[in-house]
Amino acid sequence: MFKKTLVAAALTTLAFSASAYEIGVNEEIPVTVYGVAAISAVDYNISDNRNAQTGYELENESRVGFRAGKNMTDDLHVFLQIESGYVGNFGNGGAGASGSLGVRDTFIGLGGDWGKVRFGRVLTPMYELIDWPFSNPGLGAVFDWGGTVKGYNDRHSDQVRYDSPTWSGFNFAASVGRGDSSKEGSNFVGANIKYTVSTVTLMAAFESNKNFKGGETIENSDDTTTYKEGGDVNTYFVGFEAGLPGGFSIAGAFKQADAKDRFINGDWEFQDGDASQGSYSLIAQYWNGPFGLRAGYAATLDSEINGETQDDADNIVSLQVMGNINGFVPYARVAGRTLTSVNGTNADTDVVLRVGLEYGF
Amino acid sequence: MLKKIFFLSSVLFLSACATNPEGMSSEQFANNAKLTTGYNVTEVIGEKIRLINLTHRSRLQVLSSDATLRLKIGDQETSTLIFNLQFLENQQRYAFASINNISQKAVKRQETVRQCDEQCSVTQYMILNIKTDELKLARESGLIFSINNTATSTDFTFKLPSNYIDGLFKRYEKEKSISANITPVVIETSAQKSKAIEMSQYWFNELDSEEQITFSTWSITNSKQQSSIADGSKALQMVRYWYQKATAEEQKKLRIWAVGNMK
Repeated sequence: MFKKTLVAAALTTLAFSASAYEIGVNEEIPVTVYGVAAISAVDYNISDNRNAQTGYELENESRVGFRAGKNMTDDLHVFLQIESGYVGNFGNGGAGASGSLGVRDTFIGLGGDWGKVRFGRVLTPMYELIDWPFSNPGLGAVFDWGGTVKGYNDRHSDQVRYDSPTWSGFNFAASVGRGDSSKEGSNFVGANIKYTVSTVTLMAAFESNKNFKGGETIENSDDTTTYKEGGDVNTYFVGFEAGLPGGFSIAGAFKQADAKDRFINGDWEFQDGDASQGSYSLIAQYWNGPFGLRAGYAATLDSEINGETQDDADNIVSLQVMGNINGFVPYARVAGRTLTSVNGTNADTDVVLRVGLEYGF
Repeated sequence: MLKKIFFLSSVLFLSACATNPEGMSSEQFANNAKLTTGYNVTEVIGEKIRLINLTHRSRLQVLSSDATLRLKIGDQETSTLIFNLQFLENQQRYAFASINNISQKAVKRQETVRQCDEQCSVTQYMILNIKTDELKLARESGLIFSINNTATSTDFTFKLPSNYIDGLFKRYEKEKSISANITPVVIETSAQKSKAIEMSQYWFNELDSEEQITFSTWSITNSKQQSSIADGSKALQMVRYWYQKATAEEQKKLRIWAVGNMK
């Protein structure tokens, strides 16, 4: 009963609040409840290629979270965040769709004039740049989680991440963490650097994984098991973003993953061998008052496995119209996906249509 | 139990929203403001309002901006603006503010947060210092300021509306007016003080606690006999001198004042 009551109270507060709100009865540690309301209708294959259209679905990516913080000393601020996964029920079934608290960025941090360090579950420094702006609008199936050679972590637990302050336009972030804390030698390190001059930001990042994702345990035909490590993979990233006059901005990035001995392939399965693959993303954006257009093109290059070039390049071209209306962001997007690494060398271009609305509170 | 929590939640909601200043009068802002009086400063805290967005760069998309003004009047003539800015993400962060062409580094109130879904947004929490004199000048026209990436750039531009600023000053003036009407006799301005009272009080404050007791005892028991104080510091002799220059009525006030102002 108590849980039911508490949830009802929380939902009541969320339903009516217009922005993140501080709760709690004392001022010792103010607690803020925040979240995102995000709903979209999407059809991933309206062209019914391969006779594989499944119709539309509603993806409810709404979530809630809590933040709190208090000074330990005059110069040392301690803060924490707990964020749920998507509270809506939609079909991908991944961890992000569980709705459980702690699925998204959840950490305890220390901050001061020297920057901040967070312990827990956060984005890796390189993934933060891959995620935005280079995987939007709707380019993630190629530039984020797509391709034949997977090369980095995204939102990851068992991580210690430091973010510097900005000095004369320059800042950096660096992190270390466990790939799979249950497997010996499964570790990663990563960093990004950014330098801003006027409206131009230059970016670079890398991530190095040992025993990537902790490898796998294979069941043999004689009921025994064999453990195989995940291989080592390094990924490098360079990019830029530039604000232009007249409401325009452009961005571009290139990344390259190099795996040794074993790698995770396009089907998210371990595969023996050395492998490498490059990918890039180009974005153009235009805003006129509250209305915006965003166009993107992302592609993977043919991968190379054990020295042989594969015919597995993917690409997505996408156009999004969007608005900024009193804090709400409605959008409609159409994209053409040609995913050779998934659908084979004669892959059609699947037309994806998504219409959605988001609001951060 | 559920009803109780529902009610509390609704109260939280009511106090959480930022007020749209359009259509609000300065009197309404004055009535809703909270006033606290300190030793040498009076602080008037306005309600949280939405700012007027004047940003002319289309690529900088403001999702929300709200602010709370803490107007300070008194010895400390610097007020503060608690300011939250949420915008569609780009790779830049905005840590500078410019008010009347004077740039300042904004104080970070809490960690900047970023949240992403199909779109990404960034929220920065900051505090700006504003001279109270500048706010006085903005009572009729409002205060325009910018939030910037560097000390020399102009990026986001906002206006703190005039009715809000004027309302907070009106609240202060209303309070001051009430105080003046209630205690016209008790409060005595320095211009009204006689030289004898002023000097007596000055030298009394220079005494240590032991000599303050000596003086107070002497003034109560011997003032009519005009006897002197045998020993003591120069300050003690001076307070006695000026006390004796005061009129009988002033001496009476001084005796009461002295007892109430000992160290």
